[in-house]
Amino acid sequence: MNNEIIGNSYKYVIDTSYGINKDGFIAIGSESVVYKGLKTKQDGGLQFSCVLKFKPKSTLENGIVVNRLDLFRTEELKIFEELRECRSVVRIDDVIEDLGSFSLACDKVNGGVINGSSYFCVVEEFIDGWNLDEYCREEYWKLRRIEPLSNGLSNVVDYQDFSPEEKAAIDASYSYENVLKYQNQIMLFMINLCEIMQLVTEQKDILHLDIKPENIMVTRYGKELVLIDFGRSKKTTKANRHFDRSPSAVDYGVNETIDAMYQYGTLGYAAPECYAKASAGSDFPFSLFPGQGRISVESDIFSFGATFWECLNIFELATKSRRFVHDPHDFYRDRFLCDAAYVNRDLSCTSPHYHKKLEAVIRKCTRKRNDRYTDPENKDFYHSYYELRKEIEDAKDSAPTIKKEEDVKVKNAFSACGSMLALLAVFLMVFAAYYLMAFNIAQGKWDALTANYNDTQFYRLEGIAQELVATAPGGQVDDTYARIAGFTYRNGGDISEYEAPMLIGLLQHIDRPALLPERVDEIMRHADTRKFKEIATEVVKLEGAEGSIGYDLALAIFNVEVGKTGMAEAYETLTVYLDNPDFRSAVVKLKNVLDTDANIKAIADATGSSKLEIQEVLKNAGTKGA
Amino acid sequence: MRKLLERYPIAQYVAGMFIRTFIIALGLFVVLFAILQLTGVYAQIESALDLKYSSPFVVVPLWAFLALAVLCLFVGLLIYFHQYKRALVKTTFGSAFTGILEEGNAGEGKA
Repeated sequence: MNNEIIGNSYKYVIDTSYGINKDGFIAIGSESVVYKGLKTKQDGGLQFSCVLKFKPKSTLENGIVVNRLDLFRTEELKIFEELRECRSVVRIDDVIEDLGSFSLACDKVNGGVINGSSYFCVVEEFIDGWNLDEYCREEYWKLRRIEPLSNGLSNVVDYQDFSPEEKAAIDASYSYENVLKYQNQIMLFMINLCEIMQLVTEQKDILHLDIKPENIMVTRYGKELVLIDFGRSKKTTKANRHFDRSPSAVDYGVNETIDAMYQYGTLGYAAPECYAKASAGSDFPFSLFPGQGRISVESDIFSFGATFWECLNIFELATKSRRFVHDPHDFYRDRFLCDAAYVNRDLSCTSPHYHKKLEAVIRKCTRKRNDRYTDPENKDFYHSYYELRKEIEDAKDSAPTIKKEEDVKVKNAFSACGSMLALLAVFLMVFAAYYLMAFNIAQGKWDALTANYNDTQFYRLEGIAQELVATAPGGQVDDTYARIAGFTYRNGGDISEYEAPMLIGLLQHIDRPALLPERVDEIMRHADTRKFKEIATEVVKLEGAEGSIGYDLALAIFNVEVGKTGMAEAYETLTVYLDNPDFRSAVVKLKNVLDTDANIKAIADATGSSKLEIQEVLKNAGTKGA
Repeated sequence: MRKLLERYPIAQYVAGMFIRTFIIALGLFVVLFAILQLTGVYAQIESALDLKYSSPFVVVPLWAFLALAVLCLFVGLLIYFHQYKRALVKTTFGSAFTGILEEGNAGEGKA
């Protein structure tokens, strides 16, 4: 009896410095007992870490002896050989069929000892890190801690047994920021596992059939996933990507062996179709559906969803359920074996800060089976890791980030703001260019318009004229006005009732008020005699032109004709400009508006002159120069 | 300047996109203007559309881009300060799982 295993190139011993009880024990599964080992070359030298998996050489299943060693050689070993190129699948270093005189006391196996008579050993590479469950529970949320004891051993303390202060600190850590950080890490893991499974399933046609947190390792440095335990894996073909579960039935009413009930997967994570059919007298825990027992990539995807559902609910599970903490297998067996709690899993009981798209991915992975769940056309289910990965990546891109600045929506909004500001700046430059060139542009338009002008284009002319005066550089306003006015007086013609308001409007922009009376006189001299009333109405609106002849005449005409008042003042104005040949038209107009019986009477009353005298003045008004 | 932008990523997003869009938009304007000028179409367009500094073709985009910039800034700040919360929907699974967790709590209380 010794503690050394002699392999092909190396010799192996159990690493007794490892583990809570310093016995090198890592885990026990339905197929093997796992220990941490140390390997040394046969001729000595450095020691390297490894994993020693002790598997029974034969087992009894349904009364039949199964040669596990042969099964391992023909199935599992071939799968490992095929996946050797993938760095994210654990590697087998050695298979030792004969353990020689090696013997290890182990209270976790029947007989209490592992030796060469009933076990063979598979040596795998040691992954320094945690399994996914340990990572989520211990490393991330600190829901479990290892407490050293005085005897050199250690004790596992779960959240349920923490002091109130510790619990409060842990509860406080379940914050918005930490949930987002955790969600981001989980989605990275999901994408990473999808990549691994794409190679395993879609390239190598291998179904893992035991995806669960314990079979996914997270490396300590780099947080990369490594898939382990291919003990239940099956090789399929490209043509036939599924296989049918063995027809053996189990009684769900009594305790069956784990091997019989969960041959393809682990309770809690295995898809409903992986469960053995119920024997007569017992009920299958889930709704029956056509195609039941057909195991395919959809089965692995269900386990994928169940695994990450557990990761996303680990805080609630570990803080609210002592049963889960102590024995997840029993917890799932006793509470989850029904449709309501097993399929269509969602995140409704965990943090509301997890993204809805992530929840949709989990729900779609674990969707309740129907008669078309393996049909590639049925979009209610994932049928490949490619589409699953796409949706996880979409969820990751949509999810809020811990650093708000990194949020794609924040980035897009502020980038759009930058774009809008840039376009605003460009249009400001265009505005500035047009503003600086406004006078030249208006001149161009004026020249183009006046070259072929007709009266129907008056409104365009008015607009350009206003533009010209408004944009004329200082000192050029009056010249610009003169140019416009000159055009309206072209060919010695009179200005219309439309042109007069335009010119009056332009005069308001003249920067030399001294010129205003002269400009008003000019308008009055060119006024259309038939439109004096309208033109006079516009002229009197102008401020600063008082005292000019034109203004006085316009005011007199306006008062008499529009205001029906100031007849005496108008008469006086008429007598003053009676013989002015330049304003003859305006004088005649004023004479005409005054030459009524009522007006003459009013003038006579106001001035004391006789009606005849007034009539004589009116008769002679405007005759000079006619 | 680069250090400052690295320190404030939001300023980097705004400035980065501003520079890119500005160069592209200005370039497009210059090219378009040059083509229209060289082909002699510009004067016709200027006259037909009555292009000037106060033309709606200049003023409306100016105000529109200003409004959009303010809107984007507002939306950006809103998202920046918003804490995401998924709408919780009552599901069959949720009810079943709540029951399981409550059982766990009750069991713990008794223990």
